[in-house]
Amino acid sequence: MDTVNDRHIGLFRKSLILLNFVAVIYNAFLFLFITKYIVVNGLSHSLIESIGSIPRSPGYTFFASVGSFSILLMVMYFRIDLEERHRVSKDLLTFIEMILMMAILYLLYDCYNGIILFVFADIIYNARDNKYWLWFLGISFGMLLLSNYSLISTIMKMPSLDVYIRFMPRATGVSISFFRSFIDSLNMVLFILFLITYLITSLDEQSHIKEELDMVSQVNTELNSYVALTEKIAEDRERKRIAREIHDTLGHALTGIAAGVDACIVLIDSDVDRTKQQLKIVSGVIREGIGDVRRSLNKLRPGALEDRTLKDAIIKMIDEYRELSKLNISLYYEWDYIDFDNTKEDILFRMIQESITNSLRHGHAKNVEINLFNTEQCYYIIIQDDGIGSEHITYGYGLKQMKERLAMIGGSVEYIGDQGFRTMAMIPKVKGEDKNDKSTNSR
Amino acid sequence: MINMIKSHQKTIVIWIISLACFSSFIYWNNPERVITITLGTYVGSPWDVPDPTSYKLLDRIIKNFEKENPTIKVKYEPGIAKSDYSSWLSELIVQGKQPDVFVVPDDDFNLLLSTGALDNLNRLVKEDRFNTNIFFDSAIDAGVVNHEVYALPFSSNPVMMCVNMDILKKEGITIPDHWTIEEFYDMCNKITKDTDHDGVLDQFGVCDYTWKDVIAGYGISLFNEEGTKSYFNSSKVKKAFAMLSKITHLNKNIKVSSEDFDKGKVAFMPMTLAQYRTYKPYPYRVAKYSTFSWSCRSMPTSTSNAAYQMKTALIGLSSRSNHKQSAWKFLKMICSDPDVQQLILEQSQGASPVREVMNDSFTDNLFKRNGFGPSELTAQRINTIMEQTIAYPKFKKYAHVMETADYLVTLSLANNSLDADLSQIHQNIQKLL
Repeated sequence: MDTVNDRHIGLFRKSLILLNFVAVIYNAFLFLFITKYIVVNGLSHSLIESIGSIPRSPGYTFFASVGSFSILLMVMYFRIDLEERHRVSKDLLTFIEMILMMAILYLLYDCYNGIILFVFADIIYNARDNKYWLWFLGISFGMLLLSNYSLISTIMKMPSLDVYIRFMPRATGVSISFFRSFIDSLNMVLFILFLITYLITSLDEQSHIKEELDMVSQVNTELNSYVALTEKIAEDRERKRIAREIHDTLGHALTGIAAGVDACIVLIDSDVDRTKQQLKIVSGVIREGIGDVRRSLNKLRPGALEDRTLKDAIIKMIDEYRELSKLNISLYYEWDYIDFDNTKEDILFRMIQESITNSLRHGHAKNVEINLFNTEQCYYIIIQDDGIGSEHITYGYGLKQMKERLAMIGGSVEYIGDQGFRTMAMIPKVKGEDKNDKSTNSR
Repeated sequence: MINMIKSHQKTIVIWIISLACFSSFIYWNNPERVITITLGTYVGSPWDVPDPTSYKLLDRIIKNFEKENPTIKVKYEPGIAKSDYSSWLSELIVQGKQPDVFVVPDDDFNLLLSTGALDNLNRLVKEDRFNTNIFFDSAIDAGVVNHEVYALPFSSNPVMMCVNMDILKKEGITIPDHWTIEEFYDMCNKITKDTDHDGVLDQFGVCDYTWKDVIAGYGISLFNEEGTKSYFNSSKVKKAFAMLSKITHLNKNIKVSSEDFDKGKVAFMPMTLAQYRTYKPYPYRVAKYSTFSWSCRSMPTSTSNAAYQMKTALIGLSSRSNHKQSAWKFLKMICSDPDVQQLILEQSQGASPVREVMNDSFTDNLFKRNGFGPSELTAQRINTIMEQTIAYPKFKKYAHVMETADYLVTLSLANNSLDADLSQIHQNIQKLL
């Protein structure tokens, strides 16, 4: 279907080229020929009386217009090559074609304006992927209308070919005019045929593209559900791991502790010393259990914090964000002498991570500033972005969880969304964390 | 090698283009480059009088010009008769081969102007600080439309009244410096008589005094400036025509022609300066007016500010010329150079449109030497006549309309029905405008 239409378009285009070539030569030749006739018959003075403006040399008119048309054909022929291989701009080539079109119109004293349709057919043909073809069509018909001789000649004085033809003998004049109208009409018909075929082709193309888009969106949906499924599987696996971990460590320890405590209950009245011994063993089991739980929790830590300090982890995360998006993150870290326990580190890290994600995802921010500092009593976290913010903050899962997590370590958080988005958190200090704290050291 | 060409394709193309631009710039601006300008002109005098020396004069002017401007050559096609000149020029224009500088054919100024064949000289006049006030007002006006100069005058031809001095002396009549049409009529009335008493009039007042002369004498404009309205039906025109019929009726239906003037039977005949200058000196005088003494006066007018129209020959520049600066130099020299104008005045028959030349003692001597006599036609008198003239109207259809009007009025005058026909004539003319 498409190939047939393409072949038709090519055919109409070639016919247009041939017809316009004939038209330009014919009209230019008429000036040459009728001038000769007029001079030979001594009608020059009456010709000047009838035309509004004196003509250029008819030889010049002929060669200049045919020459301009040849250049136009060359531009059309080499157009695709010039665009693709030599990266000549499409607009520049369109502009050159328009200039040549106007030159031909001017050189032929506006006696053949079918050239406008010809050039616009080529422009539309070459602008296939362009949405503006309707504009081009409008402009071409507008120009066709404006280039009407009777309209132009009121602004710009030009000799009219019709006046020349009137000097010919009647029969010759009629056949000359007939052939001119014939070329004009045929040109119009070919242009319309070209346009219709072009329209059909581009409509076909559009429906084809729509089909492909539908297919792509279907594939996309499938991929999405696959991702959800994978996540679910991963979650299940993690859950099983935690269950196994609890069973192996806590379950084991608690069972041992329960048995040990039961033995103590029996022993405590008869043999206090044995009970003490027994309790020592239980205490050992508990300590061992705590160690096991710690080890398990360590396994569940964020990947970034494993074997790293909080600062390194944050820097690594920032680098990763920088690489993934164009987000510019600046970090002011004043906690170099502070030693948090793992739980606190986890919570703080998660909170900072969540904030950055929110800035990127909801705020569409370009810059984020992270301030981490402390006073004598408290640690502060202030994260400010330059995104769209929000006047009424709705607490989603992320913000709520952040609040809950901070509450676990006795901290609190506030959000302000009027200029960008600002997250401010305050966490009370615990003895021994701050290595610089002299008051703690002296005690 | 081919690969090298391919890789430097763009650079090579740019180099070739810039080299071409540069060399053409050098070529066009080369001060040594010889420019040939073409001149369109005809054989003989612009005033339809014999002029055997016209080419000799032109060759001399061109030679002088080429000596002064060694980089400019002037070419012209010899042998074009004045009657063929208009169609010859039209042929060249239609073929786009018009000469750079050309003499404007008599009735074609409006046509050439409206079709854009004549170049607007305003820019050149301004650039050159050329003073157009050196010309008589009516002479320069002939080539000016809407304050834009399109052609310069090179020769003018005022109309004068030729007087048979013998008849006037016999009748004891003297003509004052300024004479009115009424005085003119009285003189004609007095002169017209039957001298040999055979019952037929044989001495007449005036011949060839046309309706156009009487209209000009009353200072009437027949058209508005744009050529959209005519005033043939006005009371002034009627008054003028009434005077004309009074003058014509003096002759009692006898047709008086210029031949009768040649024979010495007529006292007055309007004549152009060119005709006067041609026929006054030897040898034409012998052939034409040997039997009586004659002189010239200004035409009679009703008021002192009524002005006669003066024919002026113009030279223009082609709007398609490629050498406008050089062509302008040549054009300027022919029209305004005092020496050249003096030469033209001496060798041909009209008057110079340049004031300075006409006021020169050389001109006075020239006229005297030509046998004009001390008391008759002095340069000063011609000056006065020329200062009083105006240019012909310049709307496009003027020549055509005037031809029709002349035909209608002459026909009507012959039928003696002008009074009745005037409104019809007015309507017909108005339709043509």
